[in-house]
Amino acid sequence: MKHNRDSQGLVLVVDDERLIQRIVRAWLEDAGYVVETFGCGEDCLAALDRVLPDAIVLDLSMPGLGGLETLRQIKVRSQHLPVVMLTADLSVNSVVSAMNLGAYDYLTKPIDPAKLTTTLRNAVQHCHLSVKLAHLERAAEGTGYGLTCHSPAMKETLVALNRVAAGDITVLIQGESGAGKELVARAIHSHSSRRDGPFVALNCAAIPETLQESELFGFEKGAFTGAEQRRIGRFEEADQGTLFLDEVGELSLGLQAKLLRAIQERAFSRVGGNKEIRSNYRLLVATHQPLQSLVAQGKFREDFYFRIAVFELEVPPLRARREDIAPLARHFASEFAEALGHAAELSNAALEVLLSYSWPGNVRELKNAVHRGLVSANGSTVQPEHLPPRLLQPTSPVAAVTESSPAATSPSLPPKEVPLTVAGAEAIAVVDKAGVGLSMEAIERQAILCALTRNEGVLAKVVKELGIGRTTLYRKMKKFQIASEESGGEV
Amino acid sequence: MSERSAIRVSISSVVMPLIPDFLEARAEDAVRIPALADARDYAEVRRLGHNMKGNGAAYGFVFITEIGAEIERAAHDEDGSKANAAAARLSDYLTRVIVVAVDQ
Repeated sequence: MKHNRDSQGLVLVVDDERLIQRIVRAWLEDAGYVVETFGCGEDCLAALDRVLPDAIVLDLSMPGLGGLETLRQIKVRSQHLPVVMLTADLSVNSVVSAMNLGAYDYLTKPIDPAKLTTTLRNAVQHCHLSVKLAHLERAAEGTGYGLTCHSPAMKETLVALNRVAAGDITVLIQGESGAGKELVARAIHSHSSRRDGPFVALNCAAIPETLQESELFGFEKGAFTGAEQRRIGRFEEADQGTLFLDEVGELSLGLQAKLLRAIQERAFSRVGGNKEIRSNYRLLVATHQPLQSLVAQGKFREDFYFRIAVFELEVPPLRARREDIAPLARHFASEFAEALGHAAELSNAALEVLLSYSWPGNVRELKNAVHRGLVSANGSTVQPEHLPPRLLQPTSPVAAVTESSPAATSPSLPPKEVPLTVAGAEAIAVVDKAGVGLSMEAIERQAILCALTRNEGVLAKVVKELGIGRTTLYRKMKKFQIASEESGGEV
Repeated sequence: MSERSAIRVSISSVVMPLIPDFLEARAEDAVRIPALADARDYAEVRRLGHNMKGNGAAYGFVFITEIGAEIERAAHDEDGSKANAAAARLSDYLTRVIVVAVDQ
């Protein structure tokens, strides 16, 4: 779409009479619209491959495709696009047919300029409202929680977010599953100059590899079995807005190459088509995978990585932003209480449980836990027993160990500095002195001991180094009888 | 053309740049219609009348819309003399009309 943002919108005028084209253009341009004129429906439909107008003025009686068929095909492509029909004769049948096909309104010739501009203004507003409503509906289907930010780690993320949002720079958002990467992407979009445009999200992991290309670029009619109609892809859908590709690490190498070209040249073709299509979007991508490692393993294209990692933004895991747990939990409780139709409060004891848990599933897991608690409590205050049982498993002595990182310090549970004493940590061996292979458990035990020694007992560093969740670490430490100094050192 | 017989038509300054071409094209229509009627090409006469009907008032000339409707009707009835008479009235109108630009 090439009209500037100060205009009232882009209007396509379709009439086989040049005199009508010229006068309608004059009136609409005077009213602040950007206008493109076409002499037939076919040309208008072809133009819709490259522009997304705010409204169309369409003559009912034209040679060739004709007004009604053109209208029908416009509506197949864009249901919300308002079309104002022009007719010289008030033939009831044709007007009724046009309205039944989804025309926004009709005007009779000779056209009254005041009526035309009023109708167009209403039509464009209608279009924008319809699109906004669709966006709101899509947003409502999403996660529903905001960016709660009481922790230093999250505040740091938000500072970076604010710095990067206003521009048009491509952002790579990294973070564990459930940490809120899409929320961060939505926040960037809503703070950008594209906020009035669409936010189009695609989870690459949720789309089978064979469908990823058509989902991204769209397809032409007949491109493959079942492609009964042309469909635009996410790239086109995101024109003037933001395209968010989640779990970008799941894309095949072949598709990465195609995406690289589409991103570099801002142009692509639909599957089964040759026509070059342009779209003006901002790209945000996210992943929970270490893309650089994937690059080193040859599983991710290096050129594609550098194209998308223009600015990297880290969304911290929930365990690194414990100050946010209670506010988030209360927020979810309030949200679900409304949906469940009854009041819901979290007891202090329940909050303590939430604060003590490691949240490997991050914010998404917290949200689900609160939901379960509210449903189980059935209108009364949520107690620990209403929460998922895994949160209530007896705490091993090491579970009380807190970390030195301030971001991981609970605001409600005073930090207890309990240094770990790790005895017997040696270089990891895979065979014993007799050359007999050690069991996996024995090797795991050594790995944990070594990691604890190297990281001076800071569990956040240990789990990061070992690439396991905190819960897993606790379980294994308990199993291998690795304990803190307080409990008497290694058993 | 005497000053007394002039027909003043106020036109929005927005469309003023389009008016000379528009009136020139109508003058050509006024010449073509009798020839087409003589050749009994009523389909083309009807098309010209239909277009005049649709465009005249849009450009600010209500008379052209009215005369266009007359020409369209005459062509529908295949009445060449009525079509010629309407074309003559159009031609006369075009020699007398004076356009005045107004801001809207």
